[in-house]
Amino acid sequence: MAIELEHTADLGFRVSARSLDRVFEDAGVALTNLILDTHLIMRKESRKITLSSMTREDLMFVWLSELIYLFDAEHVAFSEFVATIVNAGRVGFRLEAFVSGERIDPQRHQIRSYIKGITLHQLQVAQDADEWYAEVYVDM
Amino acid sequence: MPKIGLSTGTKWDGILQTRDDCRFVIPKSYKAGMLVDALIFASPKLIEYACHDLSLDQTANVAMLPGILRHSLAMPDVHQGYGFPIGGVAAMDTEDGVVSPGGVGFDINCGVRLLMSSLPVQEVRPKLRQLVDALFEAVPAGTGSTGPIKLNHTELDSILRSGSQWALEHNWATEDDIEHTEERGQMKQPDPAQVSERAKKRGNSQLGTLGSGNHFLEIQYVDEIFERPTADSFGLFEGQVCFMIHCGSRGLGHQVCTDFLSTMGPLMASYQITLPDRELACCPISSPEGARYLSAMAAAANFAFANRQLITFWTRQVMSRLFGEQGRLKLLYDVAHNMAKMEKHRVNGQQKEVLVHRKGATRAFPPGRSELGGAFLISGQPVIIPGDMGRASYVLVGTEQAMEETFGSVCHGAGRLMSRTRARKQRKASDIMAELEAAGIIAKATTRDGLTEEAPAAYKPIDEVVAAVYNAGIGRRVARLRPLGVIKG
Repeated sequence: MAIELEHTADLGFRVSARSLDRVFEDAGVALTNLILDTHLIMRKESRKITLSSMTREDLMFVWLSELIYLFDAEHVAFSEFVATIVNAGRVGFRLEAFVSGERIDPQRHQIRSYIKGITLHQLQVAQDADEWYAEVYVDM
Repeated sequence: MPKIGLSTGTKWDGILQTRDDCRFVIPKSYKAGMLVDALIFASPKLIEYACHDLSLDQTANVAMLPGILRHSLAMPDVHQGYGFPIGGVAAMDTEDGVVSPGGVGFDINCGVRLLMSSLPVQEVRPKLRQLVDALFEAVPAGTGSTGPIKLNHTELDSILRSGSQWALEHNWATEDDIEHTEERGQMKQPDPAQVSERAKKRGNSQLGTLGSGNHFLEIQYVDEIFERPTADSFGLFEGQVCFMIHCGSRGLGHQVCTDFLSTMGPLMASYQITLPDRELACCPISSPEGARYLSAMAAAANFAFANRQLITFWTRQVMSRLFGEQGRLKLLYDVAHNMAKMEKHRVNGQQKEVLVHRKGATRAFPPGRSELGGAFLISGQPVIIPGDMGRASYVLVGTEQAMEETFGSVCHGAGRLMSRTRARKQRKASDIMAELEAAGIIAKATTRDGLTEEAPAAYKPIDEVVAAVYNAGIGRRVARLRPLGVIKG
C-alpha cells in the first residue's frame, strides 16, 4: 500500500514492507498506479529485468526509471512484480525482477498521469524498526 | 541599503532580508557552503508563499554550486522543485564552474511560443467549440501520445542536429518562424551521439505531441495593451486572437536528464564536489562529462524546438481549414524556459562568457543584444509568460536591468501554489469545466487529472507575479492575454 507524498510541483509516494524485495515490488506497483490503474493491466507477457547499482537508493532510481522507459518507449505496463535484491558487497546491490503485464491499449487503459522521470530528491530506501521503506518523488 | 526582517511565521523570519519591496536576500552566512548570497525577486505576498515550501532552501543550496557568479537567483514564480527550485537562475564561470542537469530539468527546452492571428475575438467566438474540437483532434496530446511522424534513426539524428531548421527543410516551418525562435530554433554544438539509444527510442514516436502535465495549447485573445509602441512593433492589438503552445522535448529530453543524473552523481566525489542534495548532481563545465551533457542537452533542445514547430504546423492547418486566408498565424516568438546556455554577460565590470542555467525561468534580453534579430534588436526580446487556464498570460519585453541583475532572465509562468494531491482533492474536473465554461472558456483534456491538477487555483495569481517582475524592472509588460479555449494533455 502506497502513501502519496505531497510536493508543490509534482508528487511522491512512500511504500513500506517487511522485506526489501517487497519494497521494490510495491514501489513498482505504486509508480505504475500513478500512470494507470494496475487492476486493468492483464498479465499477457513477462519479462526479466536485471539491474545493479552501488546503493539501494540508486538501485531504486534505476529500477523505477526502467519501468518509465518501458512504458514510454515500448508502451508496456506491468501489474505483477517479483523482485529479489542481492547485496553484492563491494560491487553494490543487484536486482532481479520478473514483471508481468501487457501493451497499453488506449481503449481499456485510462491514463492518469505522465511521469517524466524519477528524481533523486529526498530519495530514501531504508530500514525503520522491523520494516523497510522507500520514499520516491517523481517529476510529472 | 535598508535590510528589514520579514514576519512570515516561518523559520525564514530573522534570516531572510528585505532589500526593497521586490528583492529579498538569503545571506551566504545562512548555510555553510554557500558561495554567494541568494537573491529572490518577489512581492511581500509572493515571498510568503515561497517561505512555506522548500523553494528558499533549494535557492540557498544552488548558491553552493562551484563557480556560481553574483547570486543564486529566484524569480517571482519560484516554487519547490528538485535540487534547483523551479524559477531558479544560476550563472556559472566557464573556467571553474559546473553544469547541472537538474538545473535544466527533466523537460529540456520546455518552452512557450505565441502565434498571432489577424482575427478579432468576435469573429472566432462563434466557431470556438469547433476550433477547440479540431485542435484536440489534430494535435496529439496526453500520456503515451504518439505523433503522426515516425522517424528512422537518420531522420531523428537530423532533428537533433538541426531543430527548427529540419522543420523548415520539410516545409513545416517558414523562414519567419526561424527568425522568431530563440537560437533560431537550433542550439549550437548538439551531438546526437551523446543522446542515448534509450532516449532516442522514447522520443522517436513523440515528435509533434503536446504531452501532459502542465503542457497545453491555448486559444487566447489580447485583453490589454500596456505599452503600445512595443505591442505595435510585435504585431499585437486589443481583441486579437492568439495561440499559445507550451511543451518540451518529451520522453527524449526526460531520458537525457535521467541518464546524466546517473552518470554525474557518482563522479562528483572525484571532482571534489559535495552538495546537500543529490538532485544537484553536476560536473565541471570543462570536464568530459560536462561537455557530453551540454551536447546531449543541445540535441534534446533541438528536438523540443522541432516539436513546437510541428504543433504550430498542425495548428495552422486547422486555422486554415476553419478560417481560410484570414486564419493565417504569425509566430511572435518562441522561448525556452528549461535550458543551460553559454551567453556573454558583464561580470565584475568585464564582459565574459558564462553558462546560465534557467530552470523554470525565461531569457529576457533587452534591445541591442546580438542574439536578437530583425525588429527585436530595436524593441527587445518578446518574453512569453503563460499563466493558468482560467486567468491570464502575458507578453513582456526584456530590459537592461535584467542584464544587470538576473543575467537577462525573468519568471516562466505563474508558479504552482498548491500540490497536485491537494488540487485533485479540492475540485472535480466537471466543476472546473463548468466554471471555465461560465467564464467563456472551453477546455478539453485527455484525462480528468489533467484538469483538476492544473486548476487555476493551483497557481499563484499571474498578475501579482508579473507585477513583481515589472516593479523590479527586470521585464516590462506589453500585453495581457485571456484564455478562450484550452487543450490539455
